[in-house]
Amino acid sequence: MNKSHTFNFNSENFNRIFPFYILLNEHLEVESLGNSIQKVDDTLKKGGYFPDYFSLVRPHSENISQEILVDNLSQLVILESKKQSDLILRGQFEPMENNFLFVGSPWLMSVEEIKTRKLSIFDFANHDPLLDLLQILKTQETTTQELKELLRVNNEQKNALKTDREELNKLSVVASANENAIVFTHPNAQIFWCNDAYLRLTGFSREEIMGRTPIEVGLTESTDRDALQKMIDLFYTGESFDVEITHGRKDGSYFWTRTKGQPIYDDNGNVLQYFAMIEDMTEVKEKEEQLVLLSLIAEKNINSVIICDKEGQIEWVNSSFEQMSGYTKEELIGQKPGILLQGPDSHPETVAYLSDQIKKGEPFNCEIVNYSKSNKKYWVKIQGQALYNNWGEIVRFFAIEEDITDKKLLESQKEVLLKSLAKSNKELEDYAQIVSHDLKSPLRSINSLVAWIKEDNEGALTEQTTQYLNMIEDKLEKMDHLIQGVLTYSKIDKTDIAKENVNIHEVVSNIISIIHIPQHTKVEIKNTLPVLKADRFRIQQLFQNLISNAVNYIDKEEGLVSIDVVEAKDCFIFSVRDNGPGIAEENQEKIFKIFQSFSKSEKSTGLGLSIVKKIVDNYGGKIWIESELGSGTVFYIKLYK
Amino acid sequence: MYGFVNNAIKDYVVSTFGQPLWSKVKMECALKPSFLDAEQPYNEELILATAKAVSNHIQIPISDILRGFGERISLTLSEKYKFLMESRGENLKDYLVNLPNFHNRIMLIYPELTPPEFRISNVAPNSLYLHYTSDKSGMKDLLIGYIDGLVKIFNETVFVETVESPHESRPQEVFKINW
Repeated sequence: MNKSHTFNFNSENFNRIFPFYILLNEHLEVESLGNSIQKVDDTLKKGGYFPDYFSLVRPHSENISQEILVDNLSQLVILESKKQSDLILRGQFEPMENNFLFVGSPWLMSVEEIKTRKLSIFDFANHDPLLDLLQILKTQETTTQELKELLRVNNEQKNALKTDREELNKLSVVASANENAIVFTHPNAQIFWCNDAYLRLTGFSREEIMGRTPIEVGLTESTDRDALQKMIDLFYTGESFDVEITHGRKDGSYFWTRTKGQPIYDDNGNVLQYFAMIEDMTEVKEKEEQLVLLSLIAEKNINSVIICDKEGQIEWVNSSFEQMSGYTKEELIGQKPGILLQGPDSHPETVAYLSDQIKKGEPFNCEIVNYSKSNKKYWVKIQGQALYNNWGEIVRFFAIEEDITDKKLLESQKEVLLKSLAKSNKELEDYAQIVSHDLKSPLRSINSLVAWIKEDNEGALTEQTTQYLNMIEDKLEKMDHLIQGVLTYSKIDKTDIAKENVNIHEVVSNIISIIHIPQHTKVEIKNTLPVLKADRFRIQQLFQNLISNAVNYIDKEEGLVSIDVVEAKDCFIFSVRDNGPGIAEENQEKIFKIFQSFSKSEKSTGLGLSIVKKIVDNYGGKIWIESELGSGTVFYIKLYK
Repeated sequence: MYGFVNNAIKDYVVSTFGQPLWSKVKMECALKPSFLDAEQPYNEELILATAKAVSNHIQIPISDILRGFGERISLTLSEKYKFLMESRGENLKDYLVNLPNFHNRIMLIYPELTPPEFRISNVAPNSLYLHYTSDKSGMKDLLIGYIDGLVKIFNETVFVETVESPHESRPQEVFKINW
């Protein structure tokens, strides 16, 4: 059986155990209170009405009454001071007869608060663990603070690492996808990473490259030893380098590179690895060589080459230009060529043309008089144009100039010659006419005389004499034809090309109706002949000669002459075909020459085909034949529309 | 440790309805990752919003969801914080009597947390009144679920009646629990 004890305390020893006690009477008025509670709330006095000083936070209640206290006797209660800010008491209510005893202590949040509440260790009962808890809390807070700081640092490092990794990933992508070859080596030059571009450029596989040095991979017989040494020296002293050097391929060939190396240091300044970028310079080198070639061509050009800046001032000339102008490069550079080289005889229109084209940035092509340093006049043919950059802006002008002084001289000589030739032609023509006229006159007299002799001696002449006289008449007629022919021939001139629409079909039909055609010969026009712009008289001469020839020389029992035409794109090809004796091959070339007759006919003057040829030539046409001895001949005449 | 309430809610949704639904709910309610942190304050509004989102998705009344939440909270407590359960009493009555004390202590230790506010009154040999301060009527279902969970844990038979629901002058849920 449990023995029930009664505890008796006087206020002094009760105070020691519960220095924050508050004893309330049934009316909830303060009957007695501990020493320490007065320190934290000096307004709390004996006789004070407890609900005026405190509110019940937990278990929450709007007000404090006897019933509420009874209800919460078995509970932990939290009181909040209405007088002192933030003062919280934690404890419990116990009934004592009709009274209520609160035992508990202030709930402090930190060791510092002991002081601000004007308390000390002596204000707490020894059994009260609050101070120790606050100590623990303080330690815990410090630890937590340290942990939080550690976490912060940790997070920072994590983020930095993440950023680094992202940066590294980006760089790695950049390196991998770079068009230039990229190689990483250890400080001993052994390759431990390269991108695909390096494999592509060198033709090696990754396995063949890893662990070897770039020199082992890329050295060829053609490698420039000086550049190589420079690179090696800089590499081993841990410096960056930038060299142009050839790099070998697996197949033994090599390519030009620009190789840039960069050491990567660790935090202590030691070389951690080397990074090299190998740029394929093949194209650049080719362009360089091309440029050298082009400048060589420009420099060595027999013609003068001149390059001006966009302001039109001379930037460069080749040596031919120096020779032609008599000025040296130094004297020319910076000058405007027009001001320096043009003079009184430079045609103002050409000068204006040049200036205008240059202003517009358009090509120019002209001939102009220039003056050399010694004031010697010379003609140049200038061909030039503006040079544009990728953005369509004029950056330079360049021109090639040819000294055409000699050509100009020849041209003027030729002009003089042509004039004198024309004059001679005219004189010759006049002469031919005079001669013809003068020759015809005695012929006509002889003819009359022969006619009179025959008339006067009719019946008295012997047969022999009459025959002779007839022969004289024939020869006279032939002579007349000959003179007429010479006259016609000499009159055919380019100046005669009168242009009118000539209906050739009509002209040829007319010829057929007027010329004498033997009984056994038939002349036909196969297709309708066209209308051409020409001189009617010359066209008639042309066809009449051809058709007469054809008709006259036919030796067959049934003669046939046919005239035809074929139309081409820009011309007509006429043909006059006969079934006459044909022309021997060796004579085909000669028939068009003047006074060449291969006929035994008395009527042939040897001028007909010469006239035809001259007319065709004058119209810029062409005449040729196809012929077979014994079968016939075809004359083809090509006349342009 | 109040994060355990939120963790219990997550566990309930994931194990009952699956992770995809939880992901959707998380997004709809804009739950921050800190939702599951131990020091996350208890937030009635967020719990109600979560329950509403779940209910919308699976067409189960929100009251059922909240009861599910409540039951899972007590079960989680008994599994993960067994020592706490055991220190609070050997039977349901002792446990409930200590419930306000426990939460009040928590309030003192973690001033930045707002623990649920319970009060016990009218303690009789076979019954007691459990007061829960809240102005949100929806929390009633969560509490019923919570008590159901406790009943299962202590393996007791009780009869719970609602004595009072929140109203303007007193934002409280009051249950009478009878043995």
